[in-house]
Amino acid sequence: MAKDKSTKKPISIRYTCAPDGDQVGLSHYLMADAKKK
Amino acid sequence: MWGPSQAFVNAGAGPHFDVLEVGHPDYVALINADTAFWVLSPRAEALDYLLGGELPKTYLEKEKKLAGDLETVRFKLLTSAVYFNPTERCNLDCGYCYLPREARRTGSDMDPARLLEALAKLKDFFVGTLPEGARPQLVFHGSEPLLAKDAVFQGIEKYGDYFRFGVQTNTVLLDKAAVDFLKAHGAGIGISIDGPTAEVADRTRRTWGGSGVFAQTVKVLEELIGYPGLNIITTVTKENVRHLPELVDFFHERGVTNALFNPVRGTQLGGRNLMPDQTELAHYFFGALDRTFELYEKTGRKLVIGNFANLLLGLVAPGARRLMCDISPCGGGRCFFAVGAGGEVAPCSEFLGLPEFHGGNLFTDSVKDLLATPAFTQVTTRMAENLEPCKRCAVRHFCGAPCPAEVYAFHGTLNAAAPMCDFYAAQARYAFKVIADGRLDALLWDGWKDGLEEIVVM
Repeated sequence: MAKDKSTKKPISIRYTCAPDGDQVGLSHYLMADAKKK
Repeated sequence: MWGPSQAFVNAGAGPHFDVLEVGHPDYVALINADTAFWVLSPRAEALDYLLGGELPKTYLEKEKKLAGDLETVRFKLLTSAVYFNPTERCNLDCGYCYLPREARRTGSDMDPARLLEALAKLKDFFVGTLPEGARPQLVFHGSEPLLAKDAVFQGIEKYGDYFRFGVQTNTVLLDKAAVDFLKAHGAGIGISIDGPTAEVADRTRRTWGGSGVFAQTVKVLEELIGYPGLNIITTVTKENVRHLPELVDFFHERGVTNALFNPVRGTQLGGRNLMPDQTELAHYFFGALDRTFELYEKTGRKLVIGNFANLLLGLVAPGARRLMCDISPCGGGRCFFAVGAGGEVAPCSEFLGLPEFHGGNLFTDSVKDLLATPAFTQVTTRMAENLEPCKRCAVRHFCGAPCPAEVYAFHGTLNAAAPMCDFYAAQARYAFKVIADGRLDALLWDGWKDGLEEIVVM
């Protein structure tokens, strides 16, 4: 039996960032400016 | 077929891929758990991707980079934040607090001189370990830090150019002068609201006499709207879980742009007794996220639920995550640590009420030595791949088997899965569904890709 091919494309998203020594990693408290500089 | 020229999945040196149902009509997830790499495959083609040559080939070409990326965020970050409790006391008696009740009622405060001595010591440590120009975060936490307001404000005044300060407060003592002071010093202000009405919010957040503080908290919230340092925490319990979607509307109407919906930890008995049913939590938590999306579509204004946004970052940019509860080792004792009002130091605030996890005392021991004590290293070496059933779980690096303090309180060991395992697995599946739906950007902070480099696998 012929298989129906989807018109959907696969999705894969992955980004990396170089460690800059100023990483922010917190627990249950999120500083509003808590992002990488 | 039988020779070494082509890599096959799930045998020999070929990469291992799990298949995960994500509740989407068109997609399933194919996941390499070790590197947290994933592809959402059209359902009808999933087997073709797994059995064909392209996926393993292109994956293996990027495997080292993917593994290195995860390795960095799991093992190579520098300690850069402190949760600092300047007092054991609290003017509220919230049912789920992770600190022992007796200490909150009758405990001691750190006086200004002692607090300044502590900050000097912490600054010395960070100056010696962080790159020049880095500004570590120091969050005055509780108990209620404004019960030691003089000491806290003296600390902010003296060290405001070095630390990035935050204060997590129940708002009872946050008068206009205090708000003005914190704003003038650019300090983060975190407030806690557990429901959209007094009837709901006051079930868990009450004074020792039993009165609620919802009205006061909302008054402060409305005064702080627009302040970039504002942060809101909702602790999700069996008392408010059904009101989460309604709470989204409540926050959005008031212009809130960022909030955390943290499921309560069962580290102390009070919290354990308030833990919501996991199925119910999943239903209403995802309902709340769906509601933020609907409101964004309707108004163009985002309300980002930070703990879920962080999980999304864990999927698409693990190195850019901002919170460290949903990865193993967790951030406790590694990215941050906690200092209690007597100078006792623990990997995280959750561990402050568990003396066997105190590494020592800030006033008598070096921070470097404290971070290397067994009390810390048993937390900083806790990895999901060594736990049952996490070692065979496809989403183990999107969950982290949290929280070690809670796990210890439940099982007497760190080596067990999350008490809320079913919820965290469901949350990872929901996150994949969000991506398959094309809703990623709508549920993440604006600018999340800034400074990041794409790893293109396929």
